[in-house]
Amino acid sequence: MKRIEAEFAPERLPPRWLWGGALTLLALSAISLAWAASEFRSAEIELAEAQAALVGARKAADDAESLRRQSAGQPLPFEASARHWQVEEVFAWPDALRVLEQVRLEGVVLQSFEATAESQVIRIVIDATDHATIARYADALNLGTSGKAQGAWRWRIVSTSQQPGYGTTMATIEAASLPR
Amino acid sequence: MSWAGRRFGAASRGSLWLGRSFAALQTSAANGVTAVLGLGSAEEGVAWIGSSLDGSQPGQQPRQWTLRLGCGLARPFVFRPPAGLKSRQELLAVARAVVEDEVGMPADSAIWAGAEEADGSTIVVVVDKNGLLSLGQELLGRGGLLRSVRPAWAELTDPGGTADVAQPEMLFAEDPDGATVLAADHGRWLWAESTPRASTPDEHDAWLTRIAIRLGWSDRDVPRYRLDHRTLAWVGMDQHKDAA
Repeated sequence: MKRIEAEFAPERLPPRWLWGGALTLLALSAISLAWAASEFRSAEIELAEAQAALVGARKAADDAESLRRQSAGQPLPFEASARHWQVEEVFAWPDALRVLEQVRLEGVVLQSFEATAESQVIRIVIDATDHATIARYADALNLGTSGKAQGAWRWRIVSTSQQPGYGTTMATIEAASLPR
Repeated sequence: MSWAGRRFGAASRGSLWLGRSFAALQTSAANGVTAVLGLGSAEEGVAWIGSSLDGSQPGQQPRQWTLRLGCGLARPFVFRPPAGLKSRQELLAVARAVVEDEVGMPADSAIWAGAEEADGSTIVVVVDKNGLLSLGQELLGRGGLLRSVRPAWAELTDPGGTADVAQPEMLFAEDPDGATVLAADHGRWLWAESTPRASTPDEHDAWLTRIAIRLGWSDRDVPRYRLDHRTLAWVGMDQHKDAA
């Protein structure tokens, strides 16, 4: 007769060894998961450190590039002022003025005094009674500077012109500093 | 082998039998069967099993039990469902609705339905849950579990079971609760019914004869088995055939 499979067992639990196996697998899974999480955290920390190092390296490279560009051609903001100050510092125009104060010659009147630091040239305009007086005055300036004056200036007559109606001759004399 | 009060090694399995009027217990194959007859209800049987287990040593009690139910607690019927059922759930729901009319058990009983035949008919087994629950709680309190719960008469349909059954098409099984008749034709269930214990053996004979006549069969060659309450094995009732 055909088997009657009627079964009314209230519960059918798996055997104990299966529970043990399942618990073992669960424990192994938990251990593996913890290990993987630890490895992940370590890798995360290493990644953060590497990213920080990369950011630092990029910043250093940017700074170096900025300095290189500045040194290559682009002037610094204070460069013009520094150069002007340097030129003014080395331009010894007070020595030339002192020479002019020391050399006094009758018949010569100083009309203007112009000192240009950029060109390192001093230009004076005088009125003199005649050309001979102008020549003597230029010689006196040079003599004064060769011995007594501290600044080494070379004075030379640039131009002269007669002043019609005044009876005088106007002369332009320039002084250039000699190499020290 | 035991450790911390628990036994290990080969799992031992005890056997229980329970009906409305009897209960039996066998803790191991080495031990004999202890049985009690003439009980008034399944609850009395559960209480008797509990007291019997109290008398044995705790370390010798099996943790797994098989339970075989008498026909007073497990009754079959052939269910021919109405047409139009769409699922097995619907079939079980309709079968549950007719349980009380078919076998006289409450509708909240546990039911099992076999495979459907071509015409939709199937065999349904109904088990009174109250006895099961109380017995399960009794065993659970002792660290035991019910691993298998089956009708005792269903063992006769098991090829290679405890009984020597030669695939009969009609079967008569008598246990202390009553008698059960199963009839099938080429695997199709024709009859399945349990009847309460009769006051005289002739009443069971007459009941079987009526069923056989209704099926158009003879009751002479129907294999008859009785549950021996001393060994709790099904034994053939050859003396009946000899008398006939």
